[in-house]
Parts: sequence; C-alpha cells; structure tokens
Amino acid sequence: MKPLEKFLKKPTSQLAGRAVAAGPGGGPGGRPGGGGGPPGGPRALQRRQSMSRLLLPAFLREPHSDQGLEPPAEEDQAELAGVAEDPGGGGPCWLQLDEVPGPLRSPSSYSSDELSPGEPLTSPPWAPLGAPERPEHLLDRVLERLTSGATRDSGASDILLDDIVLTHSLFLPTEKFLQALHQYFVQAGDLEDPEGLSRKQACLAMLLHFLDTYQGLLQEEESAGHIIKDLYLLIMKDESLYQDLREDTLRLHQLVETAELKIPEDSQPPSRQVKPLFRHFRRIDSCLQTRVAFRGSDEIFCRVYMPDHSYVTIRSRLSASVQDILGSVTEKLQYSEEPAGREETLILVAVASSGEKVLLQPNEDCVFTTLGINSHLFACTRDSYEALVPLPEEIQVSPGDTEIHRVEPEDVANHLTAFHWELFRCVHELEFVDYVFHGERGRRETANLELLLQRCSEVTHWVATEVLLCEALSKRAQLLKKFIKIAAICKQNQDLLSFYAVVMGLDNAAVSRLRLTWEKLPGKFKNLFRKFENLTDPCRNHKSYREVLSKMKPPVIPFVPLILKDLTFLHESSKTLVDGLVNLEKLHSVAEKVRTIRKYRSRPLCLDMEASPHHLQTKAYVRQFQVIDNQNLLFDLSYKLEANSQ
Amino acid sequence: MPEQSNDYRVAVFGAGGVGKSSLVLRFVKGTFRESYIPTVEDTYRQVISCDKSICTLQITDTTGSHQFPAMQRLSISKGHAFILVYSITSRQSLEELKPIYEQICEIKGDVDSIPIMLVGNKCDESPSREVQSSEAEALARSWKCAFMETSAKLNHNVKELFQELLNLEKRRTVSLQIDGKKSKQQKRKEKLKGKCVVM
Repeated sequence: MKPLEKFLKKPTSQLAGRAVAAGPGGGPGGRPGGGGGPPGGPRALQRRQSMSRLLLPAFLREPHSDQGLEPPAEEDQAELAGVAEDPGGGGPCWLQLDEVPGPLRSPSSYSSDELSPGEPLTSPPWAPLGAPERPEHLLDRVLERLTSGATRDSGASDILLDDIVLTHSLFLPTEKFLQALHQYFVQAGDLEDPEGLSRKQACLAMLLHFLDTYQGLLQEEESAGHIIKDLYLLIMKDESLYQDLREDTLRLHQLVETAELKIPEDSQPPSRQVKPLFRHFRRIDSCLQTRVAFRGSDEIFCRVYMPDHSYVTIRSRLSASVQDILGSVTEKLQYSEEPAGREETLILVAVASSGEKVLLQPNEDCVFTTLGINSHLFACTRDSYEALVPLPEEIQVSPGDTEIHRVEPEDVANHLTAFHWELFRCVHELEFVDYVFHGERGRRETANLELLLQRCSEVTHWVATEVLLCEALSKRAQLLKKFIKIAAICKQNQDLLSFYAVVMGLDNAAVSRLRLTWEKLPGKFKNLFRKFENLTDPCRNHKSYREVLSKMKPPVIPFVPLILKDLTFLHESSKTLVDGLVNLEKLHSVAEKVRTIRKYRSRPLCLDMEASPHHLQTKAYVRQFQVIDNQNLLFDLSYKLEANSQ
Repeated sequence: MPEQSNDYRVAVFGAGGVGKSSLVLRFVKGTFRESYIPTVEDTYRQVISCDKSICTLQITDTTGSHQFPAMQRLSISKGHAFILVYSITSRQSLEELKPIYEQICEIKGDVDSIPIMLVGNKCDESPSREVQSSEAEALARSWKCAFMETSAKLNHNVKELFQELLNLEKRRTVSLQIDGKKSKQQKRKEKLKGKCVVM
C-alpha cells in the first residue's frame, strides 16, 4: 500500500472514470474499488513516492471518499452549467478536448467542480492574448502585451508576468525560455524608437521577475546562468539610456548578485559546508540549527549498507545519480582490487523497515530525499538482492518514562510549529510546480518539498509509535490526551500540517483500535478529537478543512499534501498543450495555486516560546523523532497491548 | 542503554590520514590502496567467536576530522574496545590522541577493564619517523594500554593487532578464530595463498 500515492491518485482516477462515463458509452461513474485509473496515472507523482510512505488513513476510508468524490448528479450539473454560463471573463475558449465533445465536458469544468470547491479554476484577469500560441511564440506574445498594456492595467500585467514566470517550465524549458527572452531583447529595435524602448523595458521587467522568483535556484542551472549573464551585459550596455529605469537596473544588479551569477572566473566558489541529511544521519549536533534550503549541488553524507549490515558513509552531491553513489561505494570498498570473480557490478536498493525493496535504476538521481522514513540504501550484487533484510528496529518498548511523558504539550506543539515553519519556508515556490509537473521538463530537485513530506509522515508515525510503545493503560490514555492537546495547540498556531499529521497518527488503525485506551479518555477530549476528525475528513473534497483554512490569515502552515493533490488535479484534468498550443488557463490556475502558498508565507511566524529549562532538550527531541514506520509492527504492538479490543 | 545484539564493538580513532581505514580495510578485506578518501564513518562486520559461541565483531572506522563531536561520543559510549592510531611520521597525530583518550576515560569511567590499543601505523616509512617507539611505549604504560607498531601497507602486525586487542578483553573470551570452521574470508585468503605458491 502506498498511501500518499493513493491519496493523490485516487480522486484522479475517479475523475477519469467520470470522463469516460460521461462519454458515449455511459455507465457507472464511480469506481469504489479503486485501481481502474488511467494507465498512465499521475506519472509525476508516482515517481518515487512509493518509497516515501505517507500514511493518510483518513483519506483512505472508503465511505468518505465515495461521498466526497461522487457528488450528486444535480449538483454536478449545476456547477457545470455555471461554468458554461460564464464565457466572458476567461481567455479565449479554444481548448480542444480529446475525451468528449460538448461544452459541458470542458476539462476545466471538471476541475472547478471536483478539485477545489473553494478555489475554482479561475479565469485570468488579464485580457485574452488573442489567438492561442505555440510554446516558442508565447513569450513574444506576452512581451508584446506587456509592452502595450503595462500602463493600462498594471495589476493584470503583473499577474500575467507572474503566471508566465512561475509556469514557463510547463511549456518551455528554462534555458529555451531565457534564450527566447534574449532574442526578443536583441530584436526589440532601436532605443530611440519609443516602441523599441518599451519592448526592452518589457524584457527587463520579465528578467527582473524571473530573477526575483528564482533567486538562489539559478545556481543550479549553469546554462541558464550564462544566458542571464549575457542578457545582463546587453542591458547594461545601454544603461545610460534607461533614464526612467534606474531603480530597475539597480535591482537587476542586486538580483544578479544574489543569484551569485556575477562571480568573475574566480578559482573556486567558497567551499560550502557539508549538510547532513538528518533522517539518515540523525545523531548530529547540528539538528538544533535553523534549517536552510537544500540545493542539488549541496554535499551531504549518506550511509550505504551492505547485505551484512556493515555500512560506509559516503559524501555525495544531493543530486547525485545512483551510478555516482555506487561509484563512491565501490571506491570505498576497494572492489577493484578484489579477485576478478568479485568484480560484479553493484546495484543500489532501498529497503524499507517492512522489508519492502525497491531497486534503483542507475540513471535515477536525487534519491536521498525520496526514501521512506526508516528506509535505507543497500549496495549489493544482483544475486544477493533476494537475501537483503532490513536493519533491526532501533526502538524498544518502554515502561513509560521516555521524553514524550516528560514534555509539556505546549512546548512540543510550539517546537513542531517552529520546525515545520522552517521546513515549509525552505521549499521554493517552484518546487511545488516541479514536483507535480515533473514529467514535462528537465530534472530539477524538489528536495525541500520531499523532506517536508517525509517529515509529515514522520510526525504521523511518531504519534502512533509513542502511543503503542507505552505499556501502561492509564499512561497510554494520558498520552492520547497529550497528543490531542498538541493537535489543538498546533491548530491554534495555524500550523495545519502538524495538526493534520498528529490527528492522522491518532487515526492510525493500530491506535484507533485500542478500545480500552480510548474509553479512558475524558468526554471532553473525546468530543474534541471527534471535531478534529471532522476537520480532517476528506469528504466533499476536504470542505471543512478548506473552510477553516480560508479564514486564517498568514502566517499559515497548510497541509501541504493537499496542495499537491490540487495541483495534480489541475495537471491531470486538462492538457498543457492542445494541438501544440499552450493552455493559458491552466498556467494561470497553477500559478494561482502557487500564489496561495506565497500568501501563507507572506508574514513571518512569531511564536511566543518561553525558554523553559528543558527548552533545548525538547527542541532536539521534536526535531529528530525515532519512529516505527512498519505498519505490521505497529499492529503487532497494538495487539500485544489490547488483544481482543474489537 | 539496552543492548539488543551481542555484537562486540571496536571503534578506531585517530587524526586524519594516519591510516585508520587502511588498517581496518587491510584486516577486513585484505586490501590496501594508496589513494586517500577521508572517512566519515564506516562500520564493518565480521564473525568471531565469543564465549564459545559465535558473535559479530563490529569495527567502526571513524572520522579523523573533528566535525562531529556527538558521533565520537556515541562511538565511545557504544564501543567495547578501542584502537587509537597515530602515524609514526607525525608527532602531531600522537598529540591528537590525548583528548580522545581523555574522553574515553570520561565516558567509560573505569578504563582498566577496557581493551585499548595504542597503534603507531606506517612503520614502513621509518626514514621519516618522528615518534620513537620507546616514547609511545611509555605513553601506553601511563595509559595502561597495550602498544604495537603496524603497517597496513605491508600487512605488518595488522591481524595481530586485532587479535591482541581481543585478548585484552577479560570480561569474556573473544577470539578471531572460529572453532571448527573458517570464515569465507580466511578460506579465500588461503586459496589465494595456494595460488601464489603455484605461481
């Protein structure tokens, strides 16, 4: 079972089911069994999600998903009609649908109904750009618009600019995009000519916005950096002519500098510190340091195990390919000097604590952040693949005097919020786009997003682990109470990620079956938890959660998996290119989603944390949980605690 | 700390570049390389006999840099026996062992019953020797530990080093020899030796 995958995939397949049902053949639309989705599936998400086991029990409950995903037909019709009645606001309706003809079948109308009732697929505020464009010409068209329209409605132009910069990778690789921009600038015409000048201004605006959005990410894209440098030099050549643009050119200087593109051919950039990836390298003092974003070129330490559970720690780029990793391992183990018979090539395998194995392909890269919580990398020869066994569990049942029993729920909740805010802030806006639309562009790392998802799963398992490791019934009931309190405070902190994760942890089937424990819980807490369960209920596409979220003012930490789900819907429900023409409405909707994330983070989070005597100890505890992520083991523990609980 | 396995854990400490990994790899794999790859932390396992049954010798090869004090503390608290390596060509590397030894004393308390070997590696490079063996012997006496000079490159005293270390363990009987059967490693070595003779 791959819960996150299911979580993200299921409604999508449902959607596809409906599309088929609405077609000429008719037939039942619902597919309660799951599994009959489009064969392609959400490719991007399938990527390596299988290994990042995010347990989302609440989403997997059938009755809910049925309810949520199969709204009554009438409501459906009404929604669709609503969309059909509103032809004015949107861009030109040139979308061609390959599934079924007819205005009611517009893929975007599905999405507005199904994806996010709170946020229907919105029409762009900028006026239509005219006829649809091929990817390579779209940028020109947008720049023309900016040239002429900038003065008329700057708000709409800004959004158009933002839409294109955020989503350009969907239709044009970054490098090509910049080349096109460069070319446009060169061909813009003379500066004496007012039109030429405003064309160049439009280019400058686009470049500024691009740099502003990408910032540090550009260090990872060498070729893009070269084009930007060229363009920068071109612009600077006529610097004196931009009378009105002094501010802009100054900002350009700054941005190019932040992106570290200005480094003249110096010998070496300042050596960067090796960052330990905590999950697989946990006992490091630096866990207390504030997290900074990972980039693909960062060096990290990684343990690679052998079939006998010995291991080597290699130093590697975060973005290293499986081949590179194996190269380092081979070098360390001096396989080359072994007798010829041993010189068999090694394979790299990810082994989860449950024993599940995934063979990694040599050309895969950035594998570290996609591993499940207690998954480990193993290097072995092909014949020892079958015999690989997971590392022994590190945790033992405790009599009930561990850290969780000592800490105050307020402290834990606040540290959770603070840490998750750090992690959330490390995720670049574009990682959300890249994660979902992975298949359509070159590889770019989404490590920070993957780490956040991993952490979400970790918190969920932490809750279940702590409850199930506690042997004494009354203490266990106390723990339930404590976790419900923690969830409540997280919600108060507007940290819905931690809130969701804790509630899902308590909803783990191995925990929720502990009847005796739950019975000992005071009525007040039972009611509170029932409320929390309703809030995380996925029915009607997470209606209650979305309502609560919409009332919150930034800073907010949203439940990130849901954002990815929404983006996946946008992705799966309509094509990016139709007959080679770009679907601008889709680009706009994706950008809108990204802008909501921007909004959540638009204000800094300030928690009123008292420096309690155990402050650092609690902080360290919260930042590196030891958890059991093997569901079978969690069930075993559960049955040992309460055998006949049903 | 509850121990869930009956591993016998040996940790190897010393400054960067003194040959900790070379010693360990020579012992575990029988190989030697000239190139230098700084170690972060590697662990090798080998089957040995302990109190007449079989257990796993777990050798942790640590980093020579002082990047991760927490890892060093953990290796000490989990370790049963320690090898402190310096290079006979570097007095500095001997000096750097002192804080490590002190930390072992601090964490383990009573060091008398803990097997510790002071090892001067690279004894093949005696022309550039900076540390006389008499000097190291004196230090070993004051530390109440054993002393040996080795060469991972020439495979001099390497196996003896590990055997001697296990001999120092008085709380149980640990030995590299497994009665009755030989490890694959040994078999392969013998096979190789056989071939050498033929050649």
